[in-house]
Amino acid sequence: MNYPKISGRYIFRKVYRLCILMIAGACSVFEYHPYETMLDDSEKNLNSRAIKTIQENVSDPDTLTIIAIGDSQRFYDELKDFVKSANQQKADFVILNGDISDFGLKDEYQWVDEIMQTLNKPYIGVIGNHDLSGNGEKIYTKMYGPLNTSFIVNGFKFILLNTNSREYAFSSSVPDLNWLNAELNTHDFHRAIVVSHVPPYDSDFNPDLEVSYANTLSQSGRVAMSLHAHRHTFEYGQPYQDGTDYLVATSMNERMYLVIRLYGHQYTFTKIFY
Amino acid sequence: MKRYILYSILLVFVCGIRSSFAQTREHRDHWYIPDFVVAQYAGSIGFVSAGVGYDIFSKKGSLDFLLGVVPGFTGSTALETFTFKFNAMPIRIRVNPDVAIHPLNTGVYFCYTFGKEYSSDLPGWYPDGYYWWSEAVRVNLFIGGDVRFVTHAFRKPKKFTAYYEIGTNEIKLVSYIQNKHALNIWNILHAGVGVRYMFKHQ
Repeated sequence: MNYPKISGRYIFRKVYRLCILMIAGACSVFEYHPYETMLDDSEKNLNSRAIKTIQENVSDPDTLTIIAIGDSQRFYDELKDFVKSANQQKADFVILNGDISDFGLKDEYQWVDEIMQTLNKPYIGVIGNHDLSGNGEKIYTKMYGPLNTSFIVNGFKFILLNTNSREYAFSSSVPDLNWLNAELNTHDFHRAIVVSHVPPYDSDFNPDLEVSYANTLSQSGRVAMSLHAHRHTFEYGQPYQDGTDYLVATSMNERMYLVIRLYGHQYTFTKIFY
Repeated sequence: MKRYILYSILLVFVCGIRSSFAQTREHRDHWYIPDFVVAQYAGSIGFVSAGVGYDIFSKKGSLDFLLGVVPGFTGSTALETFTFKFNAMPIRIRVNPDVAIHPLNTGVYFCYTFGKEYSSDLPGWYPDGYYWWSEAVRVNLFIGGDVRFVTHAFRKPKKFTAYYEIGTNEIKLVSYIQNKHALNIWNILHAGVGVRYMFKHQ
């Protein structure tokens, strides 16, 4: 028989070279594990970079306009449409209020960020219960920053709080109300917006801390609203009848977002369907 | 500590196989002696994985058992896995006495990740069905190809298989199916390459 003249040694050498090339190339298709947590520097500290941009670019000294959304988890098509719509709005920044990802995968965080980077305004990512699955907490921390954090724009203090109690087996430190109380007692702001994924009246919030949370907000006297997501539906009201408004943004498959205008001691909001 | 135990098991595993193939002349008929040892790079089961495997269905398929590690130097949190892989190789093209190609392989592998932080079942404080997927187990589907060859580079002729696989897992697949506009197929695919050393069939 006439076989082509390819020796084993020839193939051995070719394959060896190909392997070295592929490994050296570190092409992203060579995933090590779905829960791997390595990130490029350009993907890190997104929140602190966004805050810097927000503070440098805020135009109107009296009002602040924010867009509130939540639960982008596995709704990438809808999130893309949201960006198209939100780019038509005049707003200072967008708050993505938790459940950025569905399974806590690095891939998912990257898909969402890639879509959100096409916004013509900065965005802030908040931790949600789904984001804590797998190694999601490690990825969130590298990518966005601390789970509890705050920043001030135009005298408005935004306090980002991890309220995903069930993910921590209802530990008494989630949410961290001592930290929240300290944040609400500083003298460097005028009005505060407390931003967290799970609202206190939801069964995923530590029931032992529900009343303390509500009291911490109402006793501060400076909280404009408690802003949430997680429930995949719009909610608005004063569930504790204590003067504190609770506002819940929808999930992205509801194709709705909130435009909130904050000025002085007041605010207005509009539901936008897209 | 647990990590070092696992690395030790991996080492013993590979060394044990080495010594078992040294005795293959006497024991070649024992069913439990593997047909090959395997080492793989990437493929969503580790930075590197190593293990053993068996030819099945008259070499139209194989079963692989692999331990994989993602070491800290990759920039990731360290991860350790165990993988069971079924690989079907239906088409075989013989190029010459030393070389055969399987151009279209396909299969499935189940990857278990060690660590109590990756739960198989939801802990008691979750309601039933709160999360529908397991953190510990991933189900992967793949297609791939390989080339089997005998090399005379060593003192005795030795038989190797070099393979590649490209696939996805169930949770990335469901993400893609629901978002075909925002995601493209390359977003969800992952690849691996590996080598099998077939020590039984000289």
